[in-house]
Amino acid sequence: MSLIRTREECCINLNPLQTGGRTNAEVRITAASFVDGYSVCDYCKGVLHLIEKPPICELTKDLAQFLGMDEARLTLGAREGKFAVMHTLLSSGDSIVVDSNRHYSTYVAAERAGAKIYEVENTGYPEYEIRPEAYQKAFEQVLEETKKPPKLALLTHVDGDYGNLVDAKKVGEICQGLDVPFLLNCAYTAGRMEVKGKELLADFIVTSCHKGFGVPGTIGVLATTEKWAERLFRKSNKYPKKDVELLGCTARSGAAACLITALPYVKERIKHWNEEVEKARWFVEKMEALGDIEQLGKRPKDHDLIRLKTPALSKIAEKHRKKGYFLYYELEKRGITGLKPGQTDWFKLSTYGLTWEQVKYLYSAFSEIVKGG
Amino acid sequence: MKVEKIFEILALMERLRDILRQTAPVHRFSPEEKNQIQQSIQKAKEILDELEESL
Repeated sequence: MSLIRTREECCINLNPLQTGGRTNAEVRITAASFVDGYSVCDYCKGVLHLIEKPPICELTKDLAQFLGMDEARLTLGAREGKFAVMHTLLSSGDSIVVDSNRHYSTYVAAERAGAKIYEVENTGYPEYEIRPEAYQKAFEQVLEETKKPPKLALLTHVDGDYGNLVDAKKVGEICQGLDVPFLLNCAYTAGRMEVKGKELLADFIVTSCHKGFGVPGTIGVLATTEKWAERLFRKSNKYPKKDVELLGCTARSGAAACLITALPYVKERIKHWNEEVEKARWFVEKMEALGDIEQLGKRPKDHDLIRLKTPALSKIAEKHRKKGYFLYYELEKRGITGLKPGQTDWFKLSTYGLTWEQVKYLYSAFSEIVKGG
Repeated sequence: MKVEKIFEILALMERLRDILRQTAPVHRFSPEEKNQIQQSIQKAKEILDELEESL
């Protein structure tokens, strides 16, 4: 038997990491035909973003426009994009301000760049919100301690722990006030909802297409404005077509071809973002009504990533012979997957891309488990 | 030509996968979905016959 994965066909998959990266039939056909190594390099033009067949050169232009920026390049993911920006702007010991809800790879990328890291704290329980004005406070701290403004500020547009959407434009305004370049990580927003970087005053945008554009990975986008393009996408002295920060060519795989196929669908699906939010809100409301379940993060939800604190389920786990694993198995029996085995005190899930029928089925499954406990 | 036929069949099967995904985990199909599945299977059979004949 071949190695196959049937999770998406057989189950409702709630893993927030995976829901926005689910492919459609057209993308999978492209994937099947471009599956061989370096398949997008049949008609190499010296660097990935200049390839005309398949039209990757058009894709990068389309992506820049789609993200409301001036220039874009493919990367291997958001983290590679973040590091490219940090490595371009920061020298060892320079300061960077990041939000404390950031992905671990933000921190690691800053460490790799040798930066001194300042974190903007969230508001703590229960909303864990990143308030834009906290950036001002962090900038003042950097100024006080180093006598210089930070070299870069990074905001996670929506974080992967609470699904909190931050007012990026307000952060952008604060950055402009001190002339601090602004990097917006849109891994959980671009491809799901409309993101126009320049309107949000971002100097740089990174995103992950295997997280938000319904394609296999790994592939992401790094986009910037005219002001920064030459510096960020500077060329090698010896190899004049190769971008130094990208090490020449990045996503030189079928994922780039898949993104060409996926982009028209993505442009369409972002128009239905309000319905995705509606599903998340409906699910939260119904879950909380079961009792002893609380949604963490900003209320009401404005994203599909939901974090629930679930004493109702941990109480059942205490008495259950499978202890904390009971929930995973109870859900599995009902064809639901994507939660971490053993977790009952709290968990994260995403309702993105589910049909209403599936969302209702999901709620009934949890309802049965809680009431049957 | 033969290769194109293979991709045509793959496309039909991938569309069936989409239906399975949209109806997971119970796979209770609507009349439209049933019709689409039947048509896809029928079309795939025809293409397979054409492929066999072309050998």
